[in-house]
Amino acid sequence: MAYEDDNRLKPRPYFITAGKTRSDFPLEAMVVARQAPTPALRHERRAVVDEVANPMALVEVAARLSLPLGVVRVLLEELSEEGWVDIHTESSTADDLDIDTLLRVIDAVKHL
Amino acid sequence: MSPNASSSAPPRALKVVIAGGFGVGKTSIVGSLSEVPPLRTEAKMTSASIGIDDTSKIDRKTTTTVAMDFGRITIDRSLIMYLFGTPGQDRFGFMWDDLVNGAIGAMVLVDLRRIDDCFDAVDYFENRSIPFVVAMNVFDPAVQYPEAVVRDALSISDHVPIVSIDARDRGSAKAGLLTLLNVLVSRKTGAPTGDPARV
Ligand SMILES: Nc1nc2c(ncn2[C@@H]2O[C@H](COP(=O)(O)OP(=O)(O)OP(=O)(O)O)[C@@H](O)[C@H]2O)c(=O)[nH]1
Ligand SMILES: [Mg+2]
Repeated sequence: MAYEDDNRLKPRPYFITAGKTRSDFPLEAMVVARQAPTPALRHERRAVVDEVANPMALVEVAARLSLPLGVVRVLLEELSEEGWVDIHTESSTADDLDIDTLLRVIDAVKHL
Repeated sequence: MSPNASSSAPPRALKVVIAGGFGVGKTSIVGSLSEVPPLRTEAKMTSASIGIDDTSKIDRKTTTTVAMDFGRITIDRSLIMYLFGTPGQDRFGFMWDDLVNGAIGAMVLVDLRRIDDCFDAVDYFENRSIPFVVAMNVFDPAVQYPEAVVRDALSISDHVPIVSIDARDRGSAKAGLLTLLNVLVSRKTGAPTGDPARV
């Protein structure tokens, strides 16, 4: 596969930030492009940045590009270090949700 | 590039898990609710121990590739809900922590003809205090039981709602999801610290 030829793809699973192994990005980590891709970005790296012009979860990037989750995690880690994308890992559990947010969610679901 | 890419904060993700046995309607309900056709990705999952019924392999790490289906509901500019269907639960627990961590709640789908298929899922969410609802799919109209009988068979407490749905029908799937969201609301309003009036 093409990504195996990309010598940038040396896995760096132990890159730690804020006490967290970054390649452990949760499935629902939200990813968004920080800047438009330039021709310097090639192949899968380009495809990822194109895909997240509108924000989407890591798992959705993987599904849409038919890339393994692990590969997408590593690509995103690099792309974020290089300033191409922002990754937001905070999700909301039931306890984090305030009542106003919940009511907004309910309203949106009712109008589906 | 779209103008919102760099200017505004990206949305937060809200995760809801759809669990249940094989062929119980998990993908159907994701499809009924999602604004995009269900997406699928494969994940390699490692489990430190496997089923207690298989003691010979208990210390062996096992890696399995599982497919998961998911869909998306855009709530508004700042919130996107992802609905994850769990993979078949033959070897329950393989990847569930990865999938369930950070979820706001779950729906457990039940086929009344094989009700015990959902016991593991019920245990899982109960043990982790993750809010859930039980949704019965009526596959065979001849096999129906009163709610009290089902509640008894599952031995779940009264604060876990049991609803009857058709996973293929959007309105019905919506009603199931709304039931779950209302459980979250009552958790907030019922708890002293969660009083919306915040007196
Ligand atoms: N009668 C009836 N049939 C349903 C319902 N939900 C799903 N089905 C049918 O049951 C079959 C299996 O549904 P799926 O949504 O694929 O079930 P699943 O849980 O994703 O299955 P696996 O991923 O294989 O475990 C399909 O043929 C559906 O059309 C329901 O609520 N009522
Ligand atoms: Mg399925």
